[in-house]
Amino acid sequence: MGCGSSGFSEEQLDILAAMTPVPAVPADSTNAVADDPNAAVLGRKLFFSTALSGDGQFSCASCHDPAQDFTDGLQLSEAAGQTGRHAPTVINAAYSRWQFWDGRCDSQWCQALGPIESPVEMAGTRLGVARAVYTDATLRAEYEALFGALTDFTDSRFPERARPAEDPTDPDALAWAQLSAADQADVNGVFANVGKAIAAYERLLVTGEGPLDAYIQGLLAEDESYRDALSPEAELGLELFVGKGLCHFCHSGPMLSNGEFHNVALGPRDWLPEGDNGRFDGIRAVRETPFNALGAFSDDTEGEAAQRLTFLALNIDAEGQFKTPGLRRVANTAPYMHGGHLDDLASVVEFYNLQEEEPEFGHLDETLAPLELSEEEAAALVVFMEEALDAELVDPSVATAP
Amino acid sequence: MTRIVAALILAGCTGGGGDTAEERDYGRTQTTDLGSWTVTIAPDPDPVPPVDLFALDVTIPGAEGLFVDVDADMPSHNHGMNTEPVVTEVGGGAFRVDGMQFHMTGDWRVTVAIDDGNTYERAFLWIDCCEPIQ
Repeated sequence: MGCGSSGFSEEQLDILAAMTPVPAVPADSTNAVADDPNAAVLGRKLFFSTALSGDGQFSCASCHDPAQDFTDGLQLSEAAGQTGRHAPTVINAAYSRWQFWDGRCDSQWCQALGPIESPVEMAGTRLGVARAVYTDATLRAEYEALFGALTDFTDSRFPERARPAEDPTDPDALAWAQLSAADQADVNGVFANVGKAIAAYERLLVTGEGPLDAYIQGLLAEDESYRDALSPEAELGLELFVGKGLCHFCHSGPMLSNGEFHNVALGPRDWLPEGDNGRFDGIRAVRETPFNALGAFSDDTEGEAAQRLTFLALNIDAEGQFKTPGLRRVANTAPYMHGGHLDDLASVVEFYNLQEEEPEFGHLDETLAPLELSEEEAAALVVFMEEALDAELVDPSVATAP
Repeated sequence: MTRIVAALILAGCTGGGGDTAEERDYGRTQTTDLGSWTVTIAPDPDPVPPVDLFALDVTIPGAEGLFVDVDADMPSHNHGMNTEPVVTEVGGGAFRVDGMQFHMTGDWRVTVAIDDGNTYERAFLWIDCCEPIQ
């Protein structure tokens, strides 16, 4: 049932109205320097610094390359080794309640710490990070202005590398165990602060409004020129997005994501490791990490993020679930899905149109069923995502190395 | 333990009306399946905010001191909530449920389970969630 001349029902108009305008970045009360410009300046340097990695070769930008919309364009990321997942973009990650494909972090500062110590990503250690900040005069001065004086991490009681690890025989774990509890806490605090500074920078990597916003805002204002914002094919794509395609069930709100987790029944691929249980393992991990909203390094253990973690359930529905990605600028971040399963947006639409795969874990989200889109309709959805969801960064000048 | 109870109260239940929105009773007051209790729910805030946490005030006259558990699911989607709510007895048959979250729009079925030591009864209350995610 259409409404007026637009062809959208009242319910669809409500769904569209919730997609725009793009709101301010949500506050992160767990990070006291989240919106401190000086923290963002430091965080930008850290984001692009290879000194945080184990061998000085890799930085956050190695897999989150500004030239590729803060992704790497690969199915699986490659740095010190090969990861088991596709690198999502950092752009608009500040709008997400949960970080990583499995939500194993509940803040951007927690997320920023994971790849630094991952043996297949930056292969660094938290003590190595503390030493790198201490020994770089610029980083040290900016850090101390924000967080206070640093310990001399070049003191002889500190090895060059140390971090906790699941394997107690890991040399870095053995070195970590040799540190006093006070030194471990000190290093952890510096590591958390480094994450908070990186997060402050990443919060600047957000998009403004684009053709979708112009179209919807004009439509709602009954401005007859609203149709100029989209081509007829993209307009058909939007109608399908909130209609026959049912995309809005999960891709809703200003980021076109509900920020939650779903099992869309992606089957195995020969380049993917077996046994990726997604959100089920992510829930356990976010509960356990000392860098979560309830932990000793959180600046607000009673706020919204802490409440979400307090009530977070671990149940079998989470098996095989992965986070619904936001879709603004989605045309720039191929390949798609958590394992780079699909090469392009046409393949994504075909996947949802056919729904022929069986999930490795868990059960398919029951909202999904074959869409029975025609070739023309499938093509229109792709045009919609390419054209309507394009948007410039609010401040493009920050999307480069300092 | 709570999850086991939650699984029990949701497992296989078909209560609270039919399979379609037209057949469901969205009333905020319902009687339990064996007819012993009258359950009234009031979301806080109301309407329920999509995706965000909210609380539920549950009133069950005469249920002072009894075991009460609350959970919710979307039968049409075959999933429950992503949270594990906590029920606190306020007194006078009133209970506060913290940690509710409806992470998708559509019809959610709230199940309120009451165990008085002799019978285990459930009330089913439907909530049409929500305004679109902002």
